[in-house]
Amino acid sequence: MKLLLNLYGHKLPVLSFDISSDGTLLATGSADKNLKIWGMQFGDIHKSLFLHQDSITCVKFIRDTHYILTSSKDREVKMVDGDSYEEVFSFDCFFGAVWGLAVSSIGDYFVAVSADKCIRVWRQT
Amino acid sequence: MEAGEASEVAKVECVYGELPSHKMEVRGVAMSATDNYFATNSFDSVKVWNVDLHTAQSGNGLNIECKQSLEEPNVLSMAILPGNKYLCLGTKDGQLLLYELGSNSVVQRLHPHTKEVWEISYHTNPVSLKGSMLIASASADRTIKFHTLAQKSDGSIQLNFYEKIETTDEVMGVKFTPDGKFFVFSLLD
Repeated sequence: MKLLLNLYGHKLPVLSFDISSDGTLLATGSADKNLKIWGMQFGDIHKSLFLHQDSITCVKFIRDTHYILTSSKDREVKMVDGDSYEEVFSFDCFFGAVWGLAVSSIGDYFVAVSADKCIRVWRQT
Repeated sequence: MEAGEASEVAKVECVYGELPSHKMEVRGVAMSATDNYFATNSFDSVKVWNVDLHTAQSGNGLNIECKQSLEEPNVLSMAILPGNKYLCLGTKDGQLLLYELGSNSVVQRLHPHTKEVWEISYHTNPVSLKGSMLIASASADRTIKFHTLAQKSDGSIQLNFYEKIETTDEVMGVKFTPDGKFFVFSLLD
């Protein structure tokens, strides 16, 4: 095993990251409130997005797509398109910091957990 | 990945519901590979939830019930291993636990790290190891440790130490690429 590449860019620690299921994109969420999207092949940065008002706690790709779900301490969960960098959706029904996210493998539902002791489940209809 | 697809996704999202659950704030969630289980962890316990996928497909909403609850304090990271029989847990004091869902008990308790285990991830078929599963744990003690999962003759499984990587700072996360050739980790700097 050897170290292949170091990626620099975030000003504060990266709290969470995820790799897209096709292995081409890496998304990192940091305490500096930015989401950065990197290419896995050369380690080049595609885009830095200032999405949230507080630390990004969890980043998850939806399988077989380039959609990224992010959760933050600012009580919001957002969905971003990793190719066009547009914010697709934002969910702000939390009453505490959102700590974690999990997405089902076909992307039909996802779960978010929060400091308000609630587990919230979304589903596509 | 066209614009039309994006608007479609935005249209169909809806809040399904809220589950009252833990007594303390919920810190993390992990989904199983088959979608029908997810686990949540809080400071005081770990809960496993079962999702009824049949009702999900028929459009009648998701039927979710809490299946198991494990009173294990200080769990920080989780991974549901393929097959949905075992849960791998990482704790605040550096322990790695193998939790069997069928018997609702911890079958193996390792202490590979001296500080918080921030993330656990697995790969079912890494190129360096033919056929066996590799589990990586990222810890605040500046190491990433790899364990292989081996099946013993009596059918139970066991974690065996495989390799260790030392880094320059606390490791916040570790993940494998889908092809299993590489892994990525993030540091506190």
